[in-house]
Amino acid sequence: MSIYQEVSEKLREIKDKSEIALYLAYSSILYESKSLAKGVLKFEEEIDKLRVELQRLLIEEAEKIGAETAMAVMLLVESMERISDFAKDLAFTVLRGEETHPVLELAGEETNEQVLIVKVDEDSVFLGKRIGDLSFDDRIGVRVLAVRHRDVWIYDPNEDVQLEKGDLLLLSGYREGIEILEEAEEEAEDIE
Amino acid sequence: MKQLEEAVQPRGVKDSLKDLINLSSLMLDLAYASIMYDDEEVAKQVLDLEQSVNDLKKAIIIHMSLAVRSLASAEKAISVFKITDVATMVAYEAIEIAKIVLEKMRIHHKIKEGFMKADESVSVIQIMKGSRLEGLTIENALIASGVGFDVIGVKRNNRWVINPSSKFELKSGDILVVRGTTDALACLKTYAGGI
Repeated sequence: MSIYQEVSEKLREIKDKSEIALYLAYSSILYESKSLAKGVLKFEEEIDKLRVELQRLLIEEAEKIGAETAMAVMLLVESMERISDFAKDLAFTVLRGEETHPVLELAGEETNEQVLIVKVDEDSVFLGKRIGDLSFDDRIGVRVLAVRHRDVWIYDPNEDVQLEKGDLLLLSGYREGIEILEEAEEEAEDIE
Repeated sequence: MKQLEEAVQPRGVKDSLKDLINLSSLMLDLAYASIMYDDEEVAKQVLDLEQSVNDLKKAIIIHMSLAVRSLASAEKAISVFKITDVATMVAYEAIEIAKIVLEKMRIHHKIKEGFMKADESVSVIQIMKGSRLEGLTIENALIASGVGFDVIGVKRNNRWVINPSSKFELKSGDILVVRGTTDALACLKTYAGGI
C-alpha cells in the first residue's frame, strides 16, 4: 500500500467515525439511550488511537507526503477529533442520567438526519438477512455505517454479518432513500 | 417570501434546534466537499453560514430562558443548551476546515481520491435564468430531473433557508446546497444551467 493510500484510508476512517459518533451522540440524547451513548465512547476512543497513528505517519513520512499536504491533513484531523470530543461530552450527559428537556423528545422526530438507527425487531424486515443481501441501490444512496451485532459495535461491517433480533443498524442516507429500502425489503418478503 | 420569513423567525425551540443540527451538518458536509474539490467558493459559503448559526443559537437561548420558571425546569434545560453548544461547536469546526481551503493549503490528490470514495456528495448548484428548474417547486424539480436528491439549504437574497419544504419554489439566482449521488448531482447541474 502506498503512503498516500495509507493516509487516505486512515483519514476516511476518522471522518466516518467522527460522523457516527456525532449522530450517535445526538440520537443518544434525543432517545435517552445509554447504549447509544456507550457506542459514542467506543468510537471516540478509536478516533483518538487513529489520530495518533496518522499523525505519526505524517511526521515520519513528511518528506514523501510533502509539508503542505501533511499540514492540511493535520488540521483536518484535529477538527474531526474535536468533533468526536463534543460527541463524547454529549454522551456523558446521557450516561450520567441527567434528565432531558421535554422539547428534545420532539426534536428527534423531524430532523432530516443523515444517519438513521434502525432496530432489528422480531417482525423487522431486516431480521435474518445478511448485510450483503440488503437491497441497497446506488440511486437510493443508503449505506450501512455500522451495526451493533450481539452488543458489539462493528464499524463498516462485513457483508456476511447476519442480522439478529436486537441488532442495531446505523444507516446513512436521506430519509426517502431509507424508506424506499424498507419498502423494497417488504416487497421481497411478500414474494418469498 | 413567506418561507423566508418563517426561516428567520423560528416558531420555537424545537424548530430552531432542528435547524441548528441540520445547519451544522450541512456546513460540515460543505466543508469536506470544499477540501475534496479545492473549491474556494464552497468554502466561502461555509463561512457565510456562521451568522445563521449564531442567530439560531441566540433564538434558542432566548426561548429557553423565557421558559425556565423553576429549578427543576432549569436542570432539564441544561440538556437543550448542551445540544445547542455541540451543534454550534461542530459548525465552528466546519469553518476551521473550510479555512484550510481558503488558506490555499492543498491535499495531495492521491489522498483525496480515497478520502471521499463514497458515491454520495454535497454540491452547490445555482439556478440560472432560463433553467428548466426555474419556477418549479422542489417536489416538481425532483420529478422533472428524474433523479433523487435532497435540497438541504437555499440561499436567496443573502439569506439562508435550511431544509426548505417540498413546496418551496425555485427562482433564478437561488443557490442550492444539494445532497445526492454524484451521478444525480451531475444530472441536476445540467438542468440548473441556463439556455
